[in-house]
Amino acid sequence: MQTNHQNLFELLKKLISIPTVSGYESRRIKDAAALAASESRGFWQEWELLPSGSILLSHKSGISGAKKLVFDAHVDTVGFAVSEVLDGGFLRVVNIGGIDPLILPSSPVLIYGKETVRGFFTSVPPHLSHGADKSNLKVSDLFVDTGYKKEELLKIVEVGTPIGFCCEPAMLGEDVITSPGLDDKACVGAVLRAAQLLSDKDVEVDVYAHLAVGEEKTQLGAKTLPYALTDADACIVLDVNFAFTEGVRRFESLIMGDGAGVSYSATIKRALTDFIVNTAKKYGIPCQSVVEMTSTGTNATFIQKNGIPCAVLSIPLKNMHTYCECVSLSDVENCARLLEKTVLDYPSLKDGAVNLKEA
Amino acid sequence: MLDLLKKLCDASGVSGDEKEVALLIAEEIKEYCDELYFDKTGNLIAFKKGRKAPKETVMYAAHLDEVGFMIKHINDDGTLLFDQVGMASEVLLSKRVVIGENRIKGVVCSKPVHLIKEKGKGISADDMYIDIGTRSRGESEKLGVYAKYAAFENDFCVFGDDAVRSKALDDRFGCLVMVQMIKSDLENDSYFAFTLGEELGGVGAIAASNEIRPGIAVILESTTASDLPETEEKDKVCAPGSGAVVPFMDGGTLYDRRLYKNIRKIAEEKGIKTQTKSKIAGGTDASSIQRSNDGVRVCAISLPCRYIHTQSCVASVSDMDACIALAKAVDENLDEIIK
Amino acid sequence: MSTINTFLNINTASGAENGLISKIKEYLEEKNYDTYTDKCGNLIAKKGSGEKKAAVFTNVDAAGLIVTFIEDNGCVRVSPLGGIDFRSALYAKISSEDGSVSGLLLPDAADSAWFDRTYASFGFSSGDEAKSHFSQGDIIYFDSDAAFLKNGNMYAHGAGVKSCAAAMCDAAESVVAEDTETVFVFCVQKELGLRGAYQAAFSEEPDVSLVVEPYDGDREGLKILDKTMTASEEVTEKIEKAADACGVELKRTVNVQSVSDASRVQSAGHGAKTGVLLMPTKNIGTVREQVNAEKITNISHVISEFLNNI
Repeated sequence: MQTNHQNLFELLKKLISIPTVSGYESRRIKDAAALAASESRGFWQEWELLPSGSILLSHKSGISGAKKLVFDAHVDTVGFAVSEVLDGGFLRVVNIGGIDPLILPSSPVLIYGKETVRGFFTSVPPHLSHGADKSNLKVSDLFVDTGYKKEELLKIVEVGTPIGFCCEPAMLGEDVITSPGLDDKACVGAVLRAAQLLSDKDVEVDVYAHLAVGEEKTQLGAKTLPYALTDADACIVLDVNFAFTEGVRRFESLIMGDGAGVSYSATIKRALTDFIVNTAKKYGIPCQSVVEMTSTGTNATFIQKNGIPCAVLSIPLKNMHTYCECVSLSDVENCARLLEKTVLDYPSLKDGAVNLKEA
Repeated sequence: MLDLLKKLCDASGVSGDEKEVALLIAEEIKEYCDELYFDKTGNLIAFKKGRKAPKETVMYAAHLDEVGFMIKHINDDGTLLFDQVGMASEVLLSKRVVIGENRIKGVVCSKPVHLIKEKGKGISADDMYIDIGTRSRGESEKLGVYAKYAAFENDFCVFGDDAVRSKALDDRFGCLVMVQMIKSDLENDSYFAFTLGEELGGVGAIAASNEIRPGIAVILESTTASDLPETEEKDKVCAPGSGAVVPFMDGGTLYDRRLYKNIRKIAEEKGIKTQTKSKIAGGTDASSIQRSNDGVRVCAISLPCRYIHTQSCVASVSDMDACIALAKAVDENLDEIIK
Repeated sequence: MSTINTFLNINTASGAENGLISKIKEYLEEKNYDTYTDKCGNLIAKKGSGEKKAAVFTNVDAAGLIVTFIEDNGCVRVSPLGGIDFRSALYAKISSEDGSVSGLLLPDAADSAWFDRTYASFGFSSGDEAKSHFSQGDIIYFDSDAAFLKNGNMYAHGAGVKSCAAAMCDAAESVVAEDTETVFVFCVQKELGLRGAYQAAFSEEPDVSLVVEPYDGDREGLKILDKTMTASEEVTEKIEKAADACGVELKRTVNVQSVSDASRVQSAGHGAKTGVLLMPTKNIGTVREQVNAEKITNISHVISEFLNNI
């Protein structure tokens, strides 16, 4: 594996190992912030924990009147929460974020109680299921087997305890990483890699990274960002998007390996999107596109609604919200390069706010 | 008034691509404003001084955008797949559209009705496409239509004895009311927000409200009229020809009760015909503005409009006059109204 | 007379909360709270000052009806304001906002399945008579119609939110609040999704928020998560501690169907850590919600203990 890919893999592995189930990010968010700061070759001068629970890292250019650009990537992942502790050491759970129940039977999980313990989703052996219709499977039809007796279990777990997928990140071939949580930590990784690339350049823009909480469920980070950073000029939202595979329609997906994807949507700023596309062309960075007119399904909807114009950049991802999400490390690297060049060229973008009286 | 309305309606301004309309309006009003600028997200904001400062900051709002399409994919045979906002699939077929800055003409099609095996089942937008007369993907790509916005082609038409038919009366008419107000002398210092993306759920209105922080907002809109034959009275919502609609409630908002009552009272005193909605339906920027910041008292003046969100919105000229007169009366009697 | 007994029979509806709001205002001003009504009509009561600001929220509206159309025969057509169990609304007692006219909500036909096939009947003999009492846009109450059962149980329309308001008012008396500014917010139009709570939270900017709301449970509860929010673990822990100190056992609840003001309070402006205390309410969403005096007292103790230990 190339060195760059090796480094990216290690970085993503560290990020993914910090559990951040949506709604429960507060437990470990400071570790994520410290990791982000230490892995960016000193680019981020400081970071703060916002009232929403999200993290805001900043790099000030020191130039008065410098434009302010913020990258938004969400740090929370899908998961589950305990809704009942049952006899025999079983747990009933609810899902946090959209998860297809069909992938769950017999799957391994980590239960983040007073200690972190392992568990497995139950499944009925095929010889006993009598061909029952499984297409209607709901999360509430399944249990998590913890291997404990109920009395012991109650010392570790309670109603509301979060649960996440359990699976070590691994490489498939030379380019593809497979792991749970790549939505959206692959993009967080891209932002940190961009910071590394910028760390030894002359940056004339104030750059921020917003590690948002709650995207999978409440959009809490997105809704509050414009009130935490009121003078941001623009925001680039980084999230993952569907990679084209059999059964997915070509026009609603991106091709894995063809680079980051820009979104064309009525809910974001076309001028900013065009600028990013032109920057990619100028520096020969692979870049593709997708049209999502009424909604990008990302934090951009709420960030722009509350006052910061946005563009959306996506990394193609297969098997979203499962244990075996897959992302191409070349796409992550190219996304990072595109962010880097966008920051470096940003001062040349004409002001979006126009006072017509002066014109 | 109708000439200006035609100009505004003919312009293309689908949600997300409102710039042409915004610049058109800016041109019309720039000499009459004390301040005129685009805010960060692109709403057009105007401020005009009146004879006096009102007790509360007042903001009039109308949205720039209209329902429309975005080209999402070019098929091998050159036809185009599209996304759309705000419309029911049954009003799309056979309509002419114009795409992008070059206004490339296209038509919305699907399989010929004679060849549809399953009769009686509607056609979903997924099975429709736009034909621009090309024969191959390459031809279409050269025209640069990918990701471009498409609006209905307009045929502004005054017909019957009082009716107007056009696309985008929702909400170019609201914009026109604001333009007329700005061109006239005002009693009170007023803000005018020409907002983006109402059809996407009031996207621009929140940012405009955050910017201006009004205490009172008057939304100028168009609203759905279902006064067709065979519809029960109570289900008609409102009717063209019966006056400006001042709603007390719609699907998104319970309008400020004092503002609602006072506006209808002033209208009666001034002999301006008004009606209200007999059914709770539709929604406006009011719902976003009312809930923004620490709250805003909202009211609305709406033009009753048949076939709203289609290529052929139909409204009455006398209602338009009533709306314009009512907006003026609100400004002239603002102190009474906000009590 | 206890607080809940006073509140129980006051009519309230989404958009017409004034009766209840003014009673609460009177009550809290007697307890030396500074009160004001904001632009939305929310009542805000404050006491104390300090580095920290803690806010407690409940909404005070229940479902009601709004006049949409008046028929020539005197029948008044209505639309619901907020969510109410349709079956319980049928044949329910209703009143005009000023209380001058009483009536019933009746179905058009035996198979009427929704409000568009019902009418408000006040005994009018003509459309003109009806129009002399009602106009389009007027709000009609479902009567509170309160009744007191054995063992401290009681029911009324809107008993759920009224008991939350009563618990908060009772707690307000015992708040000592040395280094904290304490704010009680009584919100309007939650049933209509106005989320008066958002606007109040936006302007007050608390550091910590506690939402008190009714739920379909048999004992005092603590909401961990619902459809659109997850409570702050830090605040949840503090609430549990307060409950322990009062000898109240809270039922931890996870309910992915329910939606509440809590998510709006949590995401208002730059956001605040939010926890949710649940008032057990039987027959929730009907015109005969049932609550219990002892449970109301318990909730009020937990609230004041929580506020005194921020």
